[in-house]
Amino acid sequence: MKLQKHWYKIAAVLILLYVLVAGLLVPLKPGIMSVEPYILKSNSVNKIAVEGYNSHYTEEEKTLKVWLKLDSLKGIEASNVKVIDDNNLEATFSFGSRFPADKTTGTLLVHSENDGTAVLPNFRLINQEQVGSQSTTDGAVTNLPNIFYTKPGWQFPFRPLLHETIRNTFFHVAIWMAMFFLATVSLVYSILELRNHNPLTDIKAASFTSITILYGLIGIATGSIWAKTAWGAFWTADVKLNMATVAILVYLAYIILRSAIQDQDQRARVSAAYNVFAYLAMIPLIFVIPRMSSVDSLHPGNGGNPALGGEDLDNALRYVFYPSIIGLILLGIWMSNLRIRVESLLNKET
Amino acid sequence: MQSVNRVFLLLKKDITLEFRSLYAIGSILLYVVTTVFIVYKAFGTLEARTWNSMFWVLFLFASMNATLRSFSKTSSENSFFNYSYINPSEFIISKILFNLLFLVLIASLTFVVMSVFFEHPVQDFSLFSSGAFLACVGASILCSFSSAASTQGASNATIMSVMSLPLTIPILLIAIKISLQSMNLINDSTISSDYMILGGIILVMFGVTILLFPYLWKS
Repeated sequence: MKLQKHWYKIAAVLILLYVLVAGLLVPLKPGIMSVEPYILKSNSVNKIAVEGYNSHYTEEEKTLKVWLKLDSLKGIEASNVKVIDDNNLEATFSFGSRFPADKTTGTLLVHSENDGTAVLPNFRLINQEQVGSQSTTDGAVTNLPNIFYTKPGWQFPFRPLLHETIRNTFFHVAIWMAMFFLATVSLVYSILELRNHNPLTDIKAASFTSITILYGLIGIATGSIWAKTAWGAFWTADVKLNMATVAILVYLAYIILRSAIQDQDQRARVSAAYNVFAYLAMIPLIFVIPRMSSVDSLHPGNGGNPALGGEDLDNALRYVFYPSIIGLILLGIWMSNLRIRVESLLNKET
Repeated sequence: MQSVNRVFLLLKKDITLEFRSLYAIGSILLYVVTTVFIVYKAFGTLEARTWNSMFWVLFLFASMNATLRSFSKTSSENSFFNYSYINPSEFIISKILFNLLFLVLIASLTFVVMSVFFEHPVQDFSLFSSGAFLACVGASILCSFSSAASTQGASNATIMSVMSLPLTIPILLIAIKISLQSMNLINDSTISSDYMILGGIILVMFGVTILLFPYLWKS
């Protein structure tokens, strides 16, 4: 067995093992699951129940601080914090004066020394008139102290709604990237086939395309499961889903086209031309149309949503996300090579 | 300039051949009237949205039927002659232009016949016709490409529909959106970007067809 020929298979297995282990076992940062009620009124005593995730409120009771952030400088501190258990606490905001008129939402911050700061945005603020004569003016807008930081160490970010499903980034997003790589390889083989006719390049292009389709189907399936938990339905009217479906249909037509033509020479030429056409028609479908701000999309980076990268693609995610792409590409090449061998053996038989 | 002349010469030849037999125009007329009549008997009246979808479905299948034969007409001796005397890009451009004329005819015929049986819901006529025209351009490029690919050797209608149907989806989706806008069924202020996407797709397809056709032609 020659090692030079097989190194990429070993690399694929090792990288994917690392992705599975790290991607599923590295914990999430402490976060805030829910707050009840999700609203804060002025001129009254607000008791809110906070449910934390991966938090250690009982251990951290002494350093626990709850703040409502109004902007990058100003905030209101909770007058009283009562810890119920590790994941539940009750904070009291009593706020006498009115909220600044231009502020309708605030951000809830729960900070402790070892857990860092957990954040819940879009907390609603409501101004109401003073009821009765009792004054509750012990809370006021003050400057935010400079104590907030996120928990150091290798943990995946906690995002509202996504929670643990953020790990699907390593599988759902990475498999689409790998799919594009394989489709590009197949395109290159198709161009080679058009320039110098060689039965082997035709088989290579077809094999890479079939693995591309497989990856596309897995990409749709993983995305569908993710959509069920994050958006509430297996299929939504998202433009990216529609375009991905069209792209899969275009590639399925490639397979049907190949089986419809008997003559080997003609099949090679027609399917290579179709592959080039399909690839170039697929690029605007997936890269351009969903990115326009005029369309509705729930995907990050599409339909005017903020893009993946920046805030969303945390460094902790990158350590697993990039290796996952490489591992899936290597696995795809491995599978394609197996198909190439099967196809060329079948070719010899006939 | 000379190649433009040659393209128009080829186009003129196709049109002359067509008018000599009138077979294609007649069959399209029959097709459109029959399908619209079936739709009329099946639906009775049509809402604007249904009108729009029926129009595009009828247009799609009529255009498939019509452009399928744009290469199968040429016999093998004839194509050998073409191959040795005509530049492939000029040939495919003349075919695209011919199919475009044909598709515009089909679209307007479908529109007129449907307007006779049902009242047409189009409010902004320039928007509707420009969207339909762009869809015709895209579909003619696509149909010329796939009929060129499928009619080499054993001609096969299945191959052509397999090749062109999934690829027409993006063109038709945008055209349907533009026509919905023209009927005031949706209100989209960014309709100009749809024109840009459609134009971009058409340009890409045109370039790729010109590049790939010489390879498809050799048989």
